[in-house]
Amino acid sequence: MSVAFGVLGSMVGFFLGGDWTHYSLLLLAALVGWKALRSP
Amino acid sequence: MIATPPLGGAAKRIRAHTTGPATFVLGAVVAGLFFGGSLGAVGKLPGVAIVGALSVVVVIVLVLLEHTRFAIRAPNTRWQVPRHWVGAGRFRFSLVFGMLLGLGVATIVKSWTIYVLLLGAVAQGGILAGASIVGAFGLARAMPMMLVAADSTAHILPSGEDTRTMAKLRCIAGPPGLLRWLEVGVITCAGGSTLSGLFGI
Repeated sequence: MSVAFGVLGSMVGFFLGGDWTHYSLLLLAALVGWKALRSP
Repeated sequence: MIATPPLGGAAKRIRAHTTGPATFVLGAVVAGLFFGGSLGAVGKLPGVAIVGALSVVVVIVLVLLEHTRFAIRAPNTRWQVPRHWVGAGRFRFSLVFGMLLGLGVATIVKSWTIYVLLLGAVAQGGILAGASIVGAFGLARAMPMMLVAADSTAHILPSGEDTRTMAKLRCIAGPPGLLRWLEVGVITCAGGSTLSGLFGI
C-alpha cells in the first residue's frame, strides 16, 4: 500500500511540478497538527 | 507534574477571560513561523536544501516503518511544560505554552512525522516557504483547541489530568486509524514529489 502511495505521490509530483512538495508539506503540517489533538 | 493545555480544568480562569486560548494560538503560530523561517533560511545555504530533501526521503521511510516491527524510535524529549508555570500569569503561560507546542519538538515527540516537516522546511530553501510549513503546523495544532475552550464542564482530577477536555479533544480529532492512513497518504505524496524534485523529473 505504501508503495502504491509512493508511486501516486511521484506521479502527482511529476505532473504538478516542484511546488507540489510545498503543498503536500502544508497539508501534512495541517494533518500532523490536527492529529496532535489526540495527545496534546 | 505536567500541565494540560490552558483550556479547561484549573485553567477556567484563563478561558473565562478568553486571553488564554487566543494567546495560546498566537504563540503556536508565531513560534512556528519563526522556527520554520529559520529552517528555511538555513536551507538557503549552498547544498543544504539538497541534503534536507534527501533527509526528508529517509525520514519518510522511517515514518512508514512506524507501527511495523522495523520501527525506529524518533528522537524524543520527555520534557513537558511544568504545571507550576501557570503561576507566571495567564497571558505569559498561554503564550509560552503555545510557543513550545508550535515548535513541535520542544515537548514529547511521538512520531518521525514532525521531522519530515522540519526537514521539509529546510529542503524548501526559502524563508517564506519554511515559515508557512511550520506556521501551518502551529496553527493546526493550536486552533482546534479553541473548539473546546468554551467548555465550562471540564474539570481537573487530583492527578492533574483534565479528563473531560482530553476526551473532547480526542473526539474532535477523529479515529486514529483514519488519521494514520491520511498521514501515510500525504507523506508519501510529499516523498514522491521530493524525489521528483531531486531527480528533476
